Amino acid sequence: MKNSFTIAGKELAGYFLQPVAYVVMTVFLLLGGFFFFALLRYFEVTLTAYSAMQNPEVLQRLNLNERVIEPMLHNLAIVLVILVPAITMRSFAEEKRTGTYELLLTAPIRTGEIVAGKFIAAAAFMLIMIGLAGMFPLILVAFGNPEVGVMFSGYLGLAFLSISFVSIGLFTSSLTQNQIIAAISCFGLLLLLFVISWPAQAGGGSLVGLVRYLSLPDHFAQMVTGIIDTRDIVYFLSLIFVALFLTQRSVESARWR
Amino acid sequence: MRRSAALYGILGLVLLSFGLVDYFISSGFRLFVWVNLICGIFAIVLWITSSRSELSSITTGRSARYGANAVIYSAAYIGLLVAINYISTLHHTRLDLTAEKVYSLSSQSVNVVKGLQKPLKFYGFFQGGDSPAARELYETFAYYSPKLTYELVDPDKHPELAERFKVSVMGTTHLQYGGDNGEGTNVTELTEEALTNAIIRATRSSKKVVEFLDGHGEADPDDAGAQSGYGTVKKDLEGEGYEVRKLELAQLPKVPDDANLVVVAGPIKPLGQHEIDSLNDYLKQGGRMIAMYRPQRPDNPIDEAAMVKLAGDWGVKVGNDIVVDQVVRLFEGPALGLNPIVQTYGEHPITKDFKQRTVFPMARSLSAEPNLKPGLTVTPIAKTSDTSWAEVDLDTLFRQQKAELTAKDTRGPIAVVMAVDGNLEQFGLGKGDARMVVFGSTEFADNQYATQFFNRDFFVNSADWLTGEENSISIRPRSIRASRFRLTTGQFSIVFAFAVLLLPEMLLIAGIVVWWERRN
Repeated sequence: MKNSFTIAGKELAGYFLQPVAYVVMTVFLLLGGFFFFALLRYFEVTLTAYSAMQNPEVLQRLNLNERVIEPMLHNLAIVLVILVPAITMRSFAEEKRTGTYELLLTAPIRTGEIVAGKFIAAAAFMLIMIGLAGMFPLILVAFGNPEVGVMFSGYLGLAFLSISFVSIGLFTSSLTQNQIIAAISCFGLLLLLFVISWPAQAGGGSLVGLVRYLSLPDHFAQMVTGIIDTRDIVYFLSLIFVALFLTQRSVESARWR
Repeated sequence: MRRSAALYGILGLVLLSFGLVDYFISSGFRLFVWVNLICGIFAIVLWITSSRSELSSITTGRSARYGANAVIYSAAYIGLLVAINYISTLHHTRLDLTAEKVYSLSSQSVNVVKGLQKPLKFYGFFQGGDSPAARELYETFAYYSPKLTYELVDPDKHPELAERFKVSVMGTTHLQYGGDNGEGTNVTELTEEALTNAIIRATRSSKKVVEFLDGHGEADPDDAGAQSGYGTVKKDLEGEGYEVRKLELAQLPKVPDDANLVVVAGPIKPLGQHEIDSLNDYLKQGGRMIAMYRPQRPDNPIDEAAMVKLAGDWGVKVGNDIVVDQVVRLFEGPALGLNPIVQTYGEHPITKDFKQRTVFPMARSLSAEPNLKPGLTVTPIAKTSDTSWAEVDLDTLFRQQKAELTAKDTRGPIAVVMAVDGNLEQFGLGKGDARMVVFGSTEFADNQYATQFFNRDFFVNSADWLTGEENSISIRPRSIRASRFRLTTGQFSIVFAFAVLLLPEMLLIAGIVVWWERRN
């Protein structure tokens, strides 16, 4: 495990030595800020309008979590589908391209430790980014009365989602030495997990239940509304473990192929 | 191995994959699936035959050993995770972090759901076979008991299910208790309260009986075809878990003891004295009744004196008139205005939170008798609009098709439905109460009008109140807590600059510095 953390530290430092990490964080926070303030502004206008109209029925239904945090988190999830491949594409692909991959594989460390190290670094990077986006709920707490429990659950969902994404990104990066192919195939897989339940929504097919279970937005949406269900946690952890296992298999295969 | 041989193998796998995906999505073998599967198998066979020798060396080599090992190991690992996920869907716990616990059931509902002895299934009939709100609510119910499952159904794709469960309104939930041959009940409202009460109804051991009086030209509950039949409401009542029968009262000594409700749906021929006495006796013993009236047509008068007296004895005066509303009426109906629309409801359990419109064609006016007996409570529960009136000149109206508000007519609003609650103790008749709902219209619940606006809901609500089904359990609807947020324009711009712009700006500058340093 010590080796994993050594690799993770080196990888994480590597992220911050590359401009791409700063670009990803900037884009994420700028878009997050834009969504947050646009939704907040709309909420405030609605609140003022209905207060002026003295419409208690509508005022009773106006909720900061439902109108600001929930849509913002859903939008950020889509942004992550685009940004995560940019973060993970270089993990293995660049090592293969530059020739350091063989060095890594011949070093006295296990494949699992290599994968774990790279995963910890990418996950930590995502958590730092999401942590910075945590300032939005803090603003709400300072100036309004949102439901803190629901916000916590939503951000926990976003953390699980992003960590699942990076594990899938690591897997696609381990398959190729071309970073573009790694990024696009990761993007395709993440998008597939987003849209997989669309045929089920149209009501057809024999695998409706399975497809719905595989649908990532369904599990995420539940957490965003304030429900922490062990099913969703198991789903996210399984997704992470499957992707990391396949990554490990893929890296391992280089030793015997 | 020839290069093209490997290509055959890859193409074969691609074709097979696409064929299988289409098979699962379309649920069957169609041309696209066949073409892909056949071409895929053909390509694989080509690959195998053209590289047989290489394959045999590969399968016995070191790579093959490791490869097979990896495949088996991977399959076992993924199989284990699939099993864990499957178990987690069967046994899961959840934490509702909303302040008002909007995704949890009330303690009353939890007791009802946990007390289920047999399997209960919700069938939700929704357009396109989906409704996020319904799914969320069913999921919340299903969480509390493994015996409770649910399925969302598209009635256009499964008309046989809608037919079997007597579902006639989109958005209906059918509750099937005790498997396919068990008891069923329908509910059109999508709330925790409605579903919990429906579960109580479905799990009850015996069905409540509704008797439709027969033999005097009343609306026929077995007639689902003619406009004047009552087949539609019969289906709705059965869907709600009632047993509907016809009552030949003339041949019976009294109203059967197991009758929970008697419906007298606009008799055209007079009822015999024995029948009137039986109905009166039934009410005096705490009976429940729906009495419906038709307007008197001068060309075909009805001898209804006994039925009008029966309503009068229980405090409701049935006017010999017809309600005309030429403003608030069905647009496609006759311009004469004999199908007034009701939008005003009285304070009563039948019309509690009822904000929907109903139409009462060919309706007579109803009012409370001037000197009500002590113990009788008479409530007008549906009234026509201010622009309506009760026309007494039926001769001109029916013969010349003319209606005009004159001094003899009563100006609107006109009551067309009255609810009667009689306290038997105050009458000296024992304990409990007698209940009656009097409708000034018979047509409002016939096959033509039952499905219009919320007529069927009004009729079924009335039956529920009469049989004591309303508000079996009352659950306050919970909603997400109301929020406030106050920020002046100045504060808004400061927060925006510091929270949204400053951090990304600093990150961008750091990125540019890193890039510059590395470039040099």
